[in-house]
Amino acid sequence: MEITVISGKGGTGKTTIAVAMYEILSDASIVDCDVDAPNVYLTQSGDKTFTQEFFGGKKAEVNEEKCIECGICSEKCKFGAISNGVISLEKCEGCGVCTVVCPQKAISLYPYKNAEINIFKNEKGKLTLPEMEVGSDASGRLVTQLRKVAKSYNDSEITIIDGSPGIGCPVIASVTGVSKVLIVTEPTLSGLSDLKRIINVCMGLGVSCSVCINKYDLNSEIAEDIEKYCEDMKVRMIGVIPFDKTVMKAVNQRESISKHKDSKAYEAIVKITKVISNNK
Amino acid sequence: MIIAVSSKGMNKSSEFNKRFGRCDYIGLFNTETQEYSFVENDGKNQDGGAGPKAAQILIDNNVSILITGALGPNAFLATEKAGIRSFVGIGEKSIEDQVNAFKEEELMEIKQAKKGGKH
Amino acid sequence: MKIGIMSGKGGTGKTTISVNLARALKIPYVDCDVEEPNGFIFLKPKVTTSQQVYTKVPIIKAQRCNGCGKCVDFCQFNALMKVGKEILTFPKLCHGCEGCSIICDNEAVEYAERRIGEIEEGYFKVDHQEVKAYRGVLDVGEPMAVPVINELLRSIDDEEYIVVDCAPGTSCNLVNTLEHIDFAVVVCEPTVYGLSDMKRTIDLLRCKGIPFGVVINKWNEEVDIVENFCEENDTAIIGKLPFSKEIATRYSKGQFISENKIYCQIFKSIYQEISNRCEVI
Repeated sequence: MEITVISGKGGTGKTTIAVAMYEILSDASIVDCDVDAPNVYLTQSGDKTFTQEFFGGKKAEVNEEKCIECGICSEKCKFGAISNGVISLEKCEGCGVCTVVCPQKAISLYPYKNAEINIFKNEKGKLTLPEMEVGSDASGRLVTQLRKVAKSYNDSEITIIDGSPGIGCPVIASVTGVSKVLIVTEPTLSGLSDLKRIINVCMGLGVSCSVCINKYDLNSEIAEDIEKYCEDMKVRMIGVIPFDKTVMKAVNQRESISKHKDSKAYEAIVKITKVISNNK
Repeated sequence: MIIAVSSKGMNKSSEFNKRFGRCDYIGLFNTETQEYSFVENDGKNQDGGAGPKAAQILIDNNVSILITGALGPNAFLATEKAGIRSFVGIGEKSIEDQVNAFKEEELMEIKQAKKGGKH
Repeated sequence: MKIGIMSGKGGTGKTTISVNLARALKIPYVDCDVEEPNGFIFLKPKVTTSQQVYTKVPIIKAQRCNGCGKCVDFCQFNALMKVGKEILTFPKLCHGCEGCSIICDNEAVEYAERRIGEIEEGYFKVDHQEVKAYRGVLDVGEPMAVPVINELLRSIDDEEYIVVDCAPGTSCNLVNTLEHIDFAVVVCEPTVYGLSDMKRTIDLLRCKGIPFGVVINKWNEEVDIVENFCEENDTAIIGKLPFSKEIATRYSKGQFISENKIYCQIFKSIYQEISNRCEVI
């Protein structure tokens, strides 16, 4: 069973909770699909057992000897990625238009490596982690590949997928086809606003989602509004987690919250993990 | 005719795969020769457009009937245009069981796309 | 001067700092976090214009198409498929390169527009003065935010001074925003997560040659991991917003913190630091 943890809004505690769930479950593995800001490695380590290069897409390159600087490529490029025969790697989408319009056939596409996928093993289980080049695109494809690699190499009963904030392609790629989605939100107006959008995305994809409110006691009024919204949308409210200073202390010591079993936040996460990992 | 079944493995006793676009293999049963063959589904790793890629495999292999769990909107459109009829397979049975169930007219036809993906 | 407020990690306080900076200094605010825009919750601007954002989608003209499939072979994004003699299109996969029309020998490809989001413009009032506010909103279900971000930033190119509330992360959403930024404020929280993600943002800014300064949000004097990092890496800290329950509560209710004189002064001094550094450059 794959369980993806997402949030809509950033900073609600997705990774902290995903990692804790992974440690609480007896037979689990974890995949870090927050490829722009992967943080699972900060509290988890292990021996590297597998590595794979990821070619996110193609990029164009110009053969300077053949280039006559006619500028047709710049004119036709819809992404502003070529200027004076020089390609901006970040803007190039690898569409191939420049290769076709160049009268000198001076441009070609090549597969572009922008990340590595690594699997680490420790006594708890397996971690599938990305190392993405800063400024890269193709996050969606990387997430898809991370999931595929994790699937081939993991034999655990449950796979926890740590997703990214937002509603765009990396998020979509991390929830398609999973058994369950847990949305972690916070009791703020921004949190509620973003929650509505991410719930909409999940419903559009036909994925079953549950919501938990992290740091719920920071604003009980808005926490209630969130519960009411979920009820109206027929989305399951799976639990609430109280604000607990122990969490940040643990994280700053690069420890998962599950090392602090007397923490109130930990207790709440244990309950949520039990419910969501139930095979119903 | 050729019957296709989305599969987890490479032989007729392999388990049926409910997912079409992202299944590992596509099993092909030829009703004339009574033989099975298997093709790897290259589309499964794609970010988007996995359904259409898998549908292309069906078209390239002259498939008329598909047995799978459900079809996303893009795959549904593609198979419909190609004149391929799709049916819902049963639980975790083997590829061979699915084909037999189809022959016995036990399977329900897929008349609508499921939600999902980039459509 | 165009100031970008960004952070590798989400939830560090980009919007808090952006809206309060815009309000304290009466500078136009632009919300480029088009996937989850929150700035207007605080500014509550009066929206005066709204404009749809479109992307192109290929339409195959059946009368002219001979089913050769060159467009299908060309497309790197699998947005086209050949079924028999017919070409099917999958609009959401299309990146808008228009290569299919270029490669077609029969002029059989045309483009229609497909809505992917919208841009809003308005103003909020500070002491009876009208200050502009802009934002982009990506439609739910759309995978690509960059076209909305680009359209938004193109539409405000004339504004000389703006505070840009950026998307979290360091991938294409931010990279496309950076084109329009003169100075970057990197917001960091004093946690290992925050620091790890800030390093990625700083790497990107250095690579792009954009001057920047760090603002530590939810700062408390016990935890100095960010200060230590900045000292070791020749990185300027241009402001510290202390952790306070009052700030957290006001934020949760969508209220400003710059109404408080002490916090207002913090924002004014951040702006002063930015101006000083920009003059030096």
